[in-house]
Amino acid sequence: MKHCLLKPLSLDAWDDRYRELVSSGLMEPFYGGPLSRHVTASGDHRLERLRFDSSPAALRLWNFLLTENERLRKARATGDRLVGAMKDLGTVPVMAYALEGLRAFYPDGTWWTPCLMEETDCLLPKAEALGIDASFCPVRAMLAAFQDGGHFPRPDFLVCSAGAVCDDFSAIAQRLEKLGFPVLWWEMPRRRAPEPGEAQVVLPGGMVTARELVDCVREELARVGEALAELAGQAPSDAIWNKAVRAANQVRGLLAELRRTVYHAPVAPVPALEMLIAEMLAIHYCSDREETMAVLTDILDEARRRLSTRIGVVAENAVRVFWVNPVADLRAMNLLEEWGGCLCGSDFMFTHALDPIPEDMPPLEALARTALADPMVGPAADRAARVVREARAAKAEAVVVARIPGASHSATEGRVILEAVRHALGLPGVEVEIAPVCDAMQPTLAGRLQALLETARARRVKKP
Amino acid sequence: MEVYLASPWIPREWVEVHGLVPRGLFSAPAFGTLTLRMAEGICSFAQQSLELARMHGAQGNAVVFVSSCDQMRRGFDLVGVPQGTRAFLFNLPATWQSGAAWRLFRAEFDRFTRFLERLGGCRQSDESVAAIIDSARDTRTRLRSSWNKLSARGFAECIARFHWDGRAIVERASDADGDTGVPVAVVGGPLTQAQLGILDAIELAGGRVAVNATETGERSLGLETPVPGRVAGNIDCLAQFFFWRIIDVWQRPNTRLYAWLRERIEERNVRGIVLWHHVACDLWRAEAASLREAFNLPILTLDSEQARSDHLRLVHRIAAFMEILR
Ligand code: SF4
Ligand code: SF4
Repeated sequence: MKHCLLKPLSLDAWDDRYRELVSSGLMEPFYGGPLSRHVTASGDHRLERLRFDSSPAALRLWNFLLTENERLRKARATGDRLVGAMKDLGTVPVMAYALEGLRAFYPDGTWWTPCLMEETDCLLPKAEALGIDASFCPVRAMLAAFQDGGHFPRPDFLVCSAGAVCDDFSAIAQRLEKLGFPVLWWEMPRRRAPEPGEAQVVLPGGMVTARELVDCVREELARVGEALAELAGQAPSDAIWNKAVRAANQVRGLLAELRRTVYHAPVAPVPALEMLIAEMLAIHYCSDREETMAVLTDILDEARRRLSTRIGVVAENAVRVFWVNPVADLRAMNLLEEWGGCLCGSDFMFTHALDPIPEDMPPLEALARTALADPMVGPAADRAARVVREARAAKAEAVVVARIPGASHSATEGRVILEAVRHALGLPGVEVEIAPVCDAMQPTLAGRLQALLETARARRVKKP
Repeated sequence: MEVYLASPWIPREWVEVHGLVPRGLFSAPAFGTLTLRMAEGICSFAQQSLELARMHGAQGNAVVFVSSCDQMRRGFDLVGVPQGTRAFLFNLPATWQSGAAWRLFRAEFDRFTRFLERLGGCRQSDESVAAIIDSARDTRTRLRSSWNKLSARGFAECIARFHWDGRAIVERASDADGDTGVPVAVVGGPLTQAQLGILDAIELAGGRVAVNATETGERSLGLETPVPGRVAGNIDCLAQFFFWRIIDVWQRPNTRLYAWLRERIEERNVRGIVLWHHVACDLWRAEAASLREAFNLPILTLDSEQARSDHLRLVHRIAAFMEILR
């Protein structure tokens, strides 16, 4: 039996759909409303060029994402203290959310603001005026957002991992501190394999590293934990961190189920763009852990419903693509599907925020191991090995590495990953650079992606 | 065996103590003369280091990189793995104020020692260790104090020589032209031998390099930390000595760099700063605005690509800058 193909909606079409849903009794959370209001209220003009999934679950997901700054402001107004976690993508917020009255978010997320606002916010030129030009990755928008204060509220406390982090972020965070935003730096050593005879530790995701590195990170997280607890007016304890780990694992469990359901389905029931957004919720719960659970549950239910009723969002013969790195322009995820691909797996740079945190050991040890599993703190070969493993399991037919303009890691990692993929799986792959607003480079992007999809399709025919 | 060190912060004395020959890769005479074959977006210094490391590795020598920037770490992945047991990445902590950072350095120091032993190195007697450490410290002190006795190039070459073979020959080269010229600080990443023409251009334009704070200049001699006493038998004490002498842009926070600079900029009446960075080096490039704000001095930014492709224009820019400072 054939699948029924569900078309994505434009922003205008979503408004019509929204009215229909409301008139048929749609119940929405407090941040609900029509999607188009984000264009008028926040200037998120890119939404007008995106295509969205048509489910109420997707509506909730988008509204949740796009109201984060507003929700943070409200939280501040009701007395919550705001923690700006930077760079580690997934560890510090786990701790912060276990403390009453703290809310953590990643100012790094401003990475996407120039895309969403189609650069009308001028954050990139403002960052340049502050000394950080286009030779840096789009995270430079964060610097200008801190300075102008018009995006996210200024955090009460800033904490940033240092060491084996990209040069872009390290340099920008240092500039931020010099502009008068004090930062608590904590060490994230570069992950390495243990030497013969050296004590070793297995990390979530299966990598093995030296015991001494885990000890270092555990000690650093204890220091971060003390600072967070002090901010919250509480005493840090293993009981608190245990609670944090269990709560994080609930979110991660839901996401794992969502990824398994969608990526392993014969025809994807949730579009690539919504999957990218859903995965992002893992890193700091979009500033509301309970609501993240509800949003993910809705999406998962929708995915299951569609699977059982044979509804898909891409053609049955769509090429299964494993995607590496987030895209600076969200539209790229739409384009992948418009051109005949579908997402069957991903490494959006925070796979360590998706893996379950071990619960059978002291919590800071478990968090340290999780933090060290960050794909960006070790050799690109480690990352490539995971991509190979997951691409194989997802029956990927092609791999795309999104190159991030200006990113210090982008110069070499794509080659390492694609070579590993070709060598181990014989799959075609391509590296494509995606700017925050990729319209101008769309012909190039089309050329490269369509050629990749064509190659993957041709391989189907050749197979005996 | 020769051990090529890609950063001045790897304790070269410790290599010597193990009976091996330390060589500052960045001081190699061949630096800057190689044809590069790496991808766009990689720092030109890191690229050269990789090429040289490959070359020396192929000759049976060892290479040591540091984890201080993404470019070096990822570069090591490309050369280190093929070179197997003769390649080492020294995990230098970026932070320095916590016990964890120090313990990480300490553990790395032990691991480095084991690496040297695997290469066939063998720690000499305590007496010899003390002699090597003391002599290197004296040489560094002597070099530090000669900043105003030599021309900018002469001083840089002496330092390069020290990193290359441990020797300093400052006493025979008193070629500085007293206190004439507008005092400037040259701050930034490594200035290789092939790039020393920049220092000449500053002097020719009426400037005087009062502070060479590049990674291969006076700063690379490290902070003059208190003499650790009889360090030979006390590895902890020695590791502390090596840890605390690091002053670099990648440290978080990098206030040690700024404090070191401030002391010299004020003491030597510096009137302008030349910021030197390699193309694709985010860490130095990002400091331009902070340096301007911190020292309230005019800044001229020069990069390795201009130095390579349009030296004449670079000379003109330097001359114009000196004109402004005069
Ligand atoms: S996109 Fe890459 S370079 Fe930019 S902040 Fe993230 S990890 Fe760093
Ligand atoms: S010059 Fe900059 S990017 Fe290049 S190796 Fe040095 S710190 Fe790294």
